[in-house]
Amino acid sequence: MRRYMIRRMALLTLSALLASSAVFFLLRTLPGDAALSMAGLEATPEQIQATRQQLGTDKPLWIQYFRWIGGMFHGDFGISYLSKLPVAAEIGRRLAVTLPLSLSAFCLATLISFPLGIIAAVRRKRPVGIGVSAVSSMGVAVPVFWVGIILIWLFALAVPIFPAGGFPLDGWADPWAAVRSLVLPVVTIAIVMSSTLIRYIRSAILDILGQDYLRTARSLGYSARAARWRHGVRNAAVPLVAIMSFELSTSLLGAVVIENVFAIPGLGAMLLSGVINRDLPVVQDIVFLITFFVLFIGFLADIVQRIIDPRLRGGSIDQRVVPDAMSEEEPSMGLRAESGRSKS
Amino acid sequence: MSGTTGGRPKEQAYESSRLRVNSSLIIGGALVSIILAIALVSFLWTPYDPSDTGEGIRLGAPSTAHWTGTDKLGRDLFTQLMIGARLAFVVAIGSTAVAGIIGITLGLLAASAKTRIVDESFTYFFDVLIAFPTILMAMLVVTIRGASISSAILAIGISGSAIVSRLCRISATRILGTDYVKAAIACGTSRPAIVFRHVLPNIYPLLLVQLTLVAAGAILAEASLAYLGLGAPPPQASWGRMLLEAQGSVMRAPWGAIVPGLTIVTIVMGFNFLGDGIRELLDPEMRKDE
Repeated sequence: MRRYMIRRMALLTLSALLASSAVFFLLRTLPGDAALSMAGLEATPEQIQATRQQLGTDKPLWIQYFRWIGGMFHGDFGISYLSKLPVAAEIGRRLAVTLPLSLSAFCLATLISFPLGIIAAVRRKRPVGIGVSAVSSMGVAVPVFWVGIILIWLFALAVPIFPAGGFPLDGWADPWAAVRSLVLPVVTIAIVMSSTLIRYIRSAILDILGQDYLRTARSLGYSARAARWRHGVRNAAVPLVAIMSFELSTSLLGAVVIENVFAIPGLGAMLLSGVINRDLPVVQDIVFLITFFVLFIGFLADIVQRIIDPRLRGGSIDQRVVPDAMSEEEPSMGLRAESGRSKS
Repeated sequence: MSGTTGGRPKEQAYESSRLRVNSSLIIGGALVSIILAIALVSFLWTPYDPSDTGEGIRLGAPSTAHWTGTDKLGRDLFTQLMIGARLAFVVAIGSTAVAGIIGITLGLLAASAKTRIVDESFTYFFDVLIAFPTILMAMLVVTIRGASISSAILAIGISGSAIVSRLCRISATRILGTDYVKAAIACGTSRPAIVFRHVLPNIYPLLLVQLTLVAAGAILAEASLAYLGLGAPPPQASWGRMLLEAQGSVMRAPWGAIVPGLTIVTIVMGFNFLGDGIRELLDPEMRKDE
């Protein structure tokens, strides 16, 4: 297990390096000199040179790259071209909104999906199971921002219970106001996530229900329920860990889109304005941070799966047990094809 | 499991089921055809000119003159919907082609690589690319190239190619390990011939299903990008931007938000059904084998 962890950590580091260099060097293909625009129209050549030195853009690209990577280790994420302020502090402020948003969406989606997914699997031939499957298969075809618009219409305008968007200027100083403004975004993400999650859970449970060891347990005298608890849960847990890790990443990406629907000043809104203004440090920092988050969650999932199921430990380094339905999926929210078409 | 080297009984099952058109295929085909027909008709005829503000009925309700109402400038929403359908198909077909070409080429190269290190670094590269979400890819591409239809196609296509190439590599490796491929190699068949004669014909059902799903994803992705202002710039009508514009007046004119949204759901569900249908049609065994 320790050997596996070391190898898996090396793999994570390598992936992070690959992702960061891809992001960095792709963005450097952009023509233009940031120092020119930052220093202003009336800047002297000396001032422009000074700005270059301040930004570090006078150095060769590879040095800039290592400075960026090195800086991130001690919390220096560079300086925004637009606001001329450190990116790290701004990201910190934004995370105080984005993290609660995506984590609550994740929890809500989990709470909705587990009971429904299990019902859809266990009662798959009854109307209730078929109904749940049908609704969730429609749900995966719905654009997440459209759900947001419809919820704004219904619960912020037609029946004004929640604000239609925005976030208190003083952040969490008034927790009640902050929570109220996050309710609709959280519900929006959770609705769209649940339809995927229900399908995954249903397919994972169906896989387990058909297994021989459940029949064997029954023949040994376990009741159907006891057999499921004793043998089913632990076996189902392995693919479910993969599903949950995937959905955790999805909830963060969902937040990136949904923040722009509800005008919430989080990481997603910051990234979008960075893209529109071509603010390279902001774009590269946030894109890399989110990618790293996705990679890191995958790393944790692999470790947890091996703690649950020792049989996996000997396997290949990045082998991950996923339910059938997931192996051909694309992990991205809002922008997702068809996530969770189950095969049963 | 093995699966692809079917014996006699399996082949018969395959033959008989090939003719059985399933309901997913019919529903999916119908939904996609309706929107495709609308997109094609828009080249010949639209109820109004897309920029025609008409009699100036702003945010007009659906009527016989304007089937799905008018927007805040008085432009006909159904006309925009039709032209938006065109864009949706262009992006869906374009990015599916990009994903298919890159994905299948890299997947086949990885599968037929002679050394393990090449294969593993390919695999590894796909895995990192898969972890890289479509929306972030799109944001990177738009930062570099600016918002345009080609940027959207490129970003969505590259993202989609990761999953296609992984699937292609896994299934091609399986075929390359079968006895009939070994026999073909022993007979002196060249590598390209093996790929085209044995590997591709055996894996194309899987790839076709996956590409259908990429198309569905591309439509959702294009809508999201357009909504965020990162898609095709105006005056090109797109469903995503129609929704963005409708959001501000959703109270007075809810149809402006409902109709484009339902259109997106329809076409995406259509592609999803089509994928399911193709899967059932081409290889009933595939579901059990995977």
